[in-house]
Amino acid sequence: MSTVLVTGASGFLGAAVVAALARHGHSVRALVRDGSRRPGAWGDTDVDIVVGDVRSPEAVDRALAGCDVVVHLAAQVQGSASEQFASTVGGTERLLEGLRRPAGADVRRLVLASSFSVYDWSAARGTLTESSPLEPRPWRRDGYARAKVWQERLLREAAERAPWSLVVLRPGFIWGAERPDVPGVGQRVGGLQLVVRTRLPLTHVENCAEAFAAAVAADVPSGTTANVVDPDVVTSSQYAAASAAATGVHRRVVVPYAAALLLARVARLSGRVIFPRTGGKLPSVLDPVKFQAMFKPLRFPADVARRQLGWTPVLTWEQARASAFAGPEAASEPASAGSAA
Amino acid sequence: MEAGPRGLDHPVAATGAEGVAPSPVALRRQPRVAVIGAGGIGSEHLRALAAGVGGHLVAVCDSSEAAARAAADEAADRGPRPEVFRDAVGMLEAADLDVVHVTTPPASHVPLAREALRRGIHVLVEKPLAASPEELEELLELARANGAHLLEDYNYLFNSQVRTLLAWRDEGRLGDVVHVDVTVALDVLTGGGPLVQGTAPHFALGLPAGLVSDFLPHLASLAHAFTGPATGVATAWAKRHPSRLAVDEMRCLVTGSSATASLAFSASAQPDVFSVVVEGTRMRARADLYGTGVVRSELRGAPGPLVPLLNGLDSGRREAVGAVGGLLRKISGGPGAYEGLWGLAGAFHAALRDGTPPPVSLRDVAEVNALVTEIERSAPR
Repeated sequence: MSTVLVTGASGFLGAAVVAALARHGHSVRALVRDGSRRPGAWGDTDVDIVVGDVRSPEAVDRALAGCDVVVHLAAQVQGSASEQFASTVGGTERLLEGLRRPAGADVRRLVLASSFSVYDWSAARGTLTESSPLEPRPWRRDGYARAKVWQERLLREAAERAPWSLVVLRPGFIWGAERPDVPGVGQRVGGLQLVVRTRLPLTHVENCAEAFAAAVAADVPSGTTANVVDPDVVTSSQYAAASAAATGVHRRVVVPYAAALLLARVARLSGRVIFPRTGGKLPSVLDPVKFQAMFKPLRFPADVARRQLGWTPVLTWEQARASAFAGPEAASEPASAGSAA
Repeated sequence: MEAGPRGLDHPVAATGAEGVAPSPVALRRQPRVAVIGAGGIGSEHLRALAAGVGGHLVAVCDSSEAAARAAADEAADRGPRPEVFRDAVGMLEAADLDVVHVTTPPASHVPLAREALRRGIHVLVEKPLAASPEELEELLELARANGAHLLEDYNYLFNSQVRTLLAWRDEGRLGDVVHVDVTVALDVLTGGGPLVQGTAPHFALGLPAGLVSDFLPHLASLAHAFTGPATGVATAWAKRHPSRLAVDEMRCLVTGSSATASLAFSASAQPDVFSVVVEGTRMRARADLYGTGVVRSELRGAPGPLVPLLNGLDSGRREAVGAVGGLLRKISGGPGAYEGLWGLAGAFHAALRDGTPPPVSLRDVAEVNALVTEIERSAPR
């Protein structure tokens, strides 16, 4: 068993990862920011808490000392693109510097929470796998994607000459009772949900946390990369219906993906005609590149996670839905059986 | 003008700045530009350069190598790839620069500007430029001694609405300017963040008046453009939000050499606003810098009872046009709220190319900073 440092440990995913690692018998050290509350998901888990920010070298040294695995989840998901970059990528740079100092000398593995947002969704066709092309021009994407592309790039470069091995997990949309909103469902307009008809790459937070626990212990070469998507195929319509009570959005209109993408392309063309110098600046949902990154209906196999890392999701869609969305609409529109692969 | 209102008995310290601009030498080409600090406001400087407002971006420097590389990658999508540096001094030595934009957090402004000015490289530095009058004077002296320009980013002076107000002033349409009011209200403390939660260092915590100091150069430069150098200042401070800041409210009255001014910053008053109101002997004009357009009331030579009606109709039309303009500005993909930065950078680079005086003089920088320093002197710590 390992001593595992989890950065971003009090976040939505982090809280579940801490609990999963403890269940698997690891000693867990949690780097949490000042003022963070002890997450309910930790239960009565024995957690070695280090208070500090991953952007502080002093806090990084305190957190790393004596750990042999790092699960790096810390990322900023709100704020401007610059703020997200400075926090997510800057924090990763500080962590890498710490790993080169004596405090990080014992670390043998680093598991990164990357994201589906690092892929080039405009180029992806049919099936999205770990070898699908990555976003070559991150500046055309939102601040989160830009930061995640660079975070992963930095860690891959560092891993080539590091004494630790790198495992990169790229989860799809992580959801759970605490975070029922999934951006890939569609766009809210007042009290109305415009649902873009698509297939969602969902992973329930507890299933996703199990993937991180598997990655900590898996005997795989450095650089191993695995998408994390639950096996059950769930459409945006099914998810919107199931989560209606939790999200409070009961009025829905389903829009075919192709029609919505066509609208975005018309909007972009209009922008180029009206503002020939700049092309205009449209909301994300009307930007075809960002639209595809959010909604493109692909198949999302998770074979690497299951076969190489030994990941076994602990909840089926039915079980996860029942526990997260116990309500009158939760029983409607059951998911289709079968595998996303 | 007469002595200022009672209570404004704090004279603004003389800075010793003679305001002699360095001899302009025309480059006769677009300047070679570097940006130090690729994140935050630096990304707006990079966007302006990518849009072709002036010089050619030849180097990007950031203590985060990833930030510098990301900026260089994006620049290379539109033009030649700039060189990437982590060490600013190394870049100043190696990159054959005409001008640097210093867009790092404030604590590094003076050392970076010093290194550039010593080498005769012109500098556009983000506000606030310097933490003390002594540091400012050192930089001004370095600029004079090395024939280099030193500009602090007073970008709102180059906002089109402020240009309109200044043009009306210069054309005499305002009459004599009596007073200018500059008000910023921004809901920046609601919803947490490092200034409230203390989760990470924030540069504003190291400034003399905290967050207010970050905005003061904008307020002071706008007032200064209409009032001339300040001769007296009185300031009230308050704290309303629970945060790590000592103050988050400021109201200041300024006696200027040609008019009075009031400056206000609020982190609580809503909705958000950034307004400049100029009162002249013939016209009162109001610019909302977060929108577009200028609304005005003026003496029209019409019968007295009709003046309010005519002004009301004119204001309504201008408000509507301004609202549409504001929407178009948001979706145009242009500079948006950074219109003034694009204008200032473009004017500065054109001045370097043509050998004409820069759009902000050393005297402007000295006088604006003297006012800022005097206001900050009374800030609770």
